[in-house]
Amino acid sequence: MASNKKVLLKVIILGDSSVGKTSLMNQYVNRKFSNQYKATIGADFLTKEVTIDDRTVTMQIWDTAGQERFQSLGVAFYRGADCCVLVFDVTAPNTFKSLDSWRDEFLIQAAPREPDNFPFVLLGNKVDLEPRAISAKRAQQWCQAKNNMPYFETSAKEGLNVEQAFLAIAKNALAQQNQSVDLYNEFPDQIKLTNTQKSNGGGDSCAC
Amino acid sequence: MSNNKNKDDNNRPITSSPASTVSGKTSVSEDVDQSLPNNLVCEELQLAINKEASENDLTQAINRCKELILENFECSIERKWLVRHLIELRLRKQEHREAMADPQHPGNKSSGVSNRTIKGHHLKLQPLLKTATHPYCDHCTGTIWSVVQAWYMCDDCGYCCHYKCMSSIVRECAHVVACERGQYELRICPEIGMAEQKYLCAECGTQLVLNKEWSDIRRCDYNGLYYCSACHWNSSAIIPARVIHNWDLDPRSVSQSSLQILKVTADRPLINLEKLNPQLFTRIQELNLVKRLRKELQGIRKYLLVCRRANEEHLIWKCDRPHLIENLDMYSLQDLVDTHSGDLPSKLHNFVDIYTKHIKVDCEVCKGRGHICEVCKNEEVLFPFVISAFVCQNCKAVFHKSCMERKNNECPRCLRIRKRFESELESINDEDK
Ligand SMILES: Nc1nc2c(ncn2[C@@H]2O[C@H](COP(=O)(O)OP(=O)(O)O)[C@@H](O)[C@H]2O)c(=O)[nH]1
Ligand SMILES: [Mg+2]
Ligand SMILES: [Zn+2]
Ligand SMILES: [Zn+2]
Ligand SMILES: [Zn+2]
Ligand SMILES: [Zn+2]
Ligand SMILES: [Zn+2]
Ligand SMILES: [Zn+2]
Repeated sequence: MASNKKVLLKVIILGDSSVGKTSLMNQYVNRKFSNQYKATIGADFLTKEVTIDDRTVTMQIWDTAGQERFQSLGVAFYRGADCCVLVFDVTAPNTFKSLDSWRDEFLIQAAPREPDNFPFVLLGNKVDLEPRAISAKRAQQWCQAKNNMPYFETSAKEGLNVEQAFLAIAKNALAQQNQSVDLYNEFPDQIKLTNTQKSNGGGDSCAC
Repeated sequence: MSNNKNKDDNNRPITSSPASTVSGKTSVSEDVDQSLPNNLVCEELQLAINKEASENDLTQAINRCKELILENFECSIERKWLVRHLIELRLRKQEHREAMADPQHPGNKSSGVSNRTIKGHHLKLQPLLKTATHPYCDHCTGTIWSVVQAWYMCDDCGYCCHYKCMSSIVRECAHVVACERGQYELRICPEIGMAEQKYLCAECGTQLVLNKEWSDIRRCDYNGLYYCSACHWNSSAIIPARVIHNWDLDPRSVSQSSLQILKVTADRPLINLEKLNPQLFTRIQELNLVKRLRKELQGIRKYLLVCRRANEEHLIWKCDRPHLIENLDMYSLQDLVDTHSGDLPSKLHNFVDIYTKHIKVDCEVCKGRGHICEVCKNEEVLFPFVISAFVCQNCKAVFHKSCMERKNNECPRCLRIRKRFESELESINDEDK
């Protein structure tokens, strides 16, 4: 991984509306949080530079709106994604139930080369709120069944775990990109990469 | 809106002048060279040219002008110019006297009023200008000598009149009338007959005398009413009802009040053609094309509305006729005229090109909000507004038309959503057992 080429990592944030997708992105990119709810219109992306293992990469983070009235807009931007972030609200059980369909829809529309190995990261947001509806254990069980998807419990409001979660997202995205590049170059380095990917997930998960 | 009623746009087939009025007041086209002949340059000051002058100055200038006329040869350029200038000076002197006698007169510096509201008109004092052509007074039909006579024009409808005619204006402002009515007369020339009008001019109420050698009774083709020649100048205009029902765009003779109403409404989307005469779309090829392009623009609009960059660049506002993008059915009379001439289809084509370039090429976000056909999984990004696209009316997913045909028009996404829903129901039932 010695190349100094400019790297752009494309990250997609998905989940039901109001779970805190826009807030998480704002907290991470601008370190700002607002209690006021402003529905996201259409889609847009923010970019942020991050340093991973002495390498500077640019993360392009796509935020989306799930509202019905924008359904005529499509999701071609899923194509070429390097990581998909699924978000639910730990106090709203329905937002957890939707995760399967968000993941399925993403895989169908993004059509990655290896759907089984595509990196997802799950965020259980709003942990500052009570009462909880979905326990950390239940979320982790779901992740285990999904190829050991990394799981983080976050609060966009208090900035809790947000930085760590996005660092893991960046690492997974970078690993995914290197892997596909390596596949192209027939560089059989993937076993090592898959290992780091898994240890990232396991290690940084929530501490509850 | 046109500010000068004598300078109609060529594409607006509305013509207007009080030609052949009874009183014989006809237009004076000033095609004579207006500039001061070289030999008279030294007299410029004494002749009070283009400058403010007191009544005394004007009297002196008139006298000097008379002297000079006698000094110059009968057919010389100088003499022609001097005669014209003498007329102008006399008018100026008269106007000056009137101004001094009337405290309301705009020329009376102590209390000149430059804005007046009468019968809904917002009348604004016009600057005294030397122009090649002179406007006509909409009240008395006389020429307005815009160089010397104080005159007013309505900001909203273009009504022009002398200062001295202002107090007796009869006609309501066309802008106000059009706003109150909100719809065109949709019947073709709906005559009620002169008897029903009691043989009175529909505007000013003058007796319409039948047994004259020459007729000064004129019918307005827009509303079918009869007018006197002071209120109907034989101006011509395209009649909305004839366009809507017959696709007949020939201009017809209309009264001045109808003319002004047709002018102020020309650009307003007042015609719901889809409702009034849907058959036209199948019979007139250009209309059919315009309809198709508007449909495409509506789909495009959905993208531009939610795109930050498009909003920052005010892309939607680049279209000078926003109603054409905002809805499908409403047309302005001008839209129909321009459809007939072929200007509108090419204009709309142009906007489709500008907007699709933003969406498909320039803007990463808009491009990202395109669709990928999940039947063929082709890399090509599809947009719901293009002809080759099939949009599922239920889930709004977009596919190639040809791909959907192969799937017997059964939407794979709807199928998937239904299956997921059924399996959820099953698992809930299982939990209950
Ligand atoms: N208490 C709390 N509220 C949050 C948190 N994250 C988001 N919110 C609030 O939840 C609402 C929806 O957030 P938003 O980011 O717009 O959700 P989105 O629709 O997924 O983008 C807003 O009122 C936020 O202020 C969080 O971590 N804790
Ligand atoms: Mg949002
Ligand atoms: Zn007049
Ligand atoms: Zn007016
Ligand atoms: Zn009349
Ligand atoms: Zn855009
Ligand atoms: Zn297809
Ligand atoms: Zn469907």
